[in-house]
Amino acid sequence: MDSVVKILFAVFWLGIIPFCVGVVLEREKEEKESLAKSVLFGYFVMFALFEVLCVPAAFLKISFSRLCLVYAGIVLIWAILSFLIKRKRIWNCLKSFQKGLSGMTFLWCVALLLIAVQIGVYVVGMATDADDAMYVASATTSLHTDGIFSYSCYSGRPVSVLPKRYVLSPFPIFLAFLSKMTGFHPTVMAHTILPVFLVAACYFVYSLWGRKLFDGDKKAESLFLIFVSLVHIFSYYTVYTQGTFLLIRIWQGKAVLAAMLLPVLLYYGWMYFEKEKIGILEWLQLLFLMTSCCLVSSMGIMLAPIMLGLVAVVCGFTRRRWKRIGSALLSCLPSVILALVYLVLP
Amino acid sequence: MLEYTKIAWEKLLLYLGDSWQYALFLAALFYLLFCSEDKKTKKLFAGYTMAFLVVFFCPVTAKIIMEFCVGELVYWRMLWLLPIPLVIAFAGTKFVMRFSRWWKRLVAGILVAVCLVFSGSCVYAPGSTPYVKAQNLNKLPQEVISVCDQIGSFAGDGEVCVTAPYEFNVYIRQYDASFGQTFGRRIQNKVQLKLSEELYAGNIEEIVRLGRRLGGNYVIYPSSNEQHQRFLQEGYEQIGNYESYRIYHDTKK
Repeated sequence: MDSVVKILFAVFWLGIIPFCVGVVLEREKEEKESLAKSVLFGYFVMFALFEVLCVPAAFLKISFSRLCLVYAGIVLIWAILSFLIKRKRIWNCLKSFQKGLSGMTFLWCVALLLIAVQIGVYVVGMATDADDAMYVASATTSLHTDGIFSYSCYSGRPVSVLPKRYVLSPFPIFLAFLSKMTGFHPTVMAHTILPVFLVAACYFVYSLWGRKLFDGDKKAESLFLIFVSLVHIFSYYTVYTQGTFLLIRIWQGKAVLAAMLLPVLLYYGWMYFEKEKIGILEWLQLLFLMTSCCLVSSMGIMLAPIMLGLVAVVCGFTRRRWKRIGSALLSCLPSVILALVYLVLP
Repeated sequence: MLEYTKIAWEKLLLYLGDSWQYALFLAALFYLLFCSEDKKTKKLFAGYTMAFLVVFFCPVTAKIIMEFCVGELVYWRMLWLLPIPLVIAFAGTKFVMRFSRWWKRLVAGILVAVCLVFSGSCVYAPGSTPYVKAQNLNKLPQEVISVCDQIGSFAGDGEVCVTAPYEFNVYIRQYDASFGQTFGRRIQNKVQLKLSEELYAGNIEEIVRLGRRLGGNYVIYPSSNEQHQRFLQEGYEQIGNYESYRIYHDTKK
């Protein structure tokens, strides 16, 4: 019974809340309802908000429980307001999702089966990773000490100087937050619960790509997802590939960056320069996404602006969309600020 | 300056290993360039890859990125910016969908799938997979859970600071953060370094001395009978064990 309640809380915080939070960021008139898109936006908003609150909280030595209280409050208020404002769209979104499920073809079933296998292996299998000595131990340490990186995750002793690389990308504290909200031990949250949602989210990203690249051709979309799955599953030729990070350690921030956020950043970067008309909503989407990259890994602080810069060169310069290049650069502001903080701090 | 290009090349080789997936990626790019009619995707994928390769190999940008952004050691992470799964899957799907008859699509689809399978290594392949069947809900090695539970029930509310070899110290604080460690995965000072060396050398007197100096009151160690006697002489008592590992408590603390 206890586990069922915890699983329901996990579905609430990693499924329902991101969906409600994200639905408000979709441009209603132009875009078809998409559960995948709403959930992804929700994750970006949740990641970005956590980054914005957690980094100052760590430097100001605010307690972890207070951070959780403020963050959970903001996210819940956002989700409730979003639900009230966009309830019709949420309803339509659920209806179109149900319609999609009822009209499943054989190829879709194969694609879903392949994705389910990848998730299933995470649930029943165990792949230990030495980096968890930081990622997961930081979460358990935060829960135990009620501090944010104020105790060493390796020895458990108080630290004299905050580990700046970790503080600027506090994804382990996000893991601790999820553990606190659901009641799962951080190891269970990291190794079993989080992968279920994050692997699904990674394929949501590729379903967005599929929908865009094949213009709604369902057969092609499903085949595309099958091939993406196969590329990932057969990416274990070295331990460095995106596929390897996706399939053996997705709970770590750098894996989220490699497997989920960079592919989706390429998508939104491309859309940003390709769309005929864009507004503040598109810029906000990009800003939240760039800030999310900062949360998950210090690599994200650097790699995300490089990727956006490359897309700007390829798509922005060739179409001479100078204003958009300027605003895209502005969305890199969180990365720039954090990079400067990193360089300035001792 | 060219040394940075050389490093970039080495990192690329490190990333690719002995796979053929990169060849598939290049083939996919060429296919999109010469056979696809969609100019936008052509420009995005081919243009983006070209721009990336310039930045990746150009000595000036490589130097800047290595020294100020991601670091030389993990420069291979730059390769995450290449949309390899996306481009291969996109070109593969385009290739299959160009045929109109179902059986031709089936053959083309199988052909693409076979290429994908043989170009890389399966993450779930027996023998090479990092996965084992989960031994517990926490997905941590069972010996860690067992040892921590034994120490926890012995210590009660008392303070615990463990000296343990690598195969334990990576996991102990993941399982229970109320446990301190004399040293963890990242060695942070000379005393910790010395203790970790002595632990592997099996010098019990030094393990005891340095462990006490770092505040340790428990030791997890695969001691032989002779080493076990020396632990007892140093004032330790055995409180439990897991297979070859014995768990000691310092009675002088």
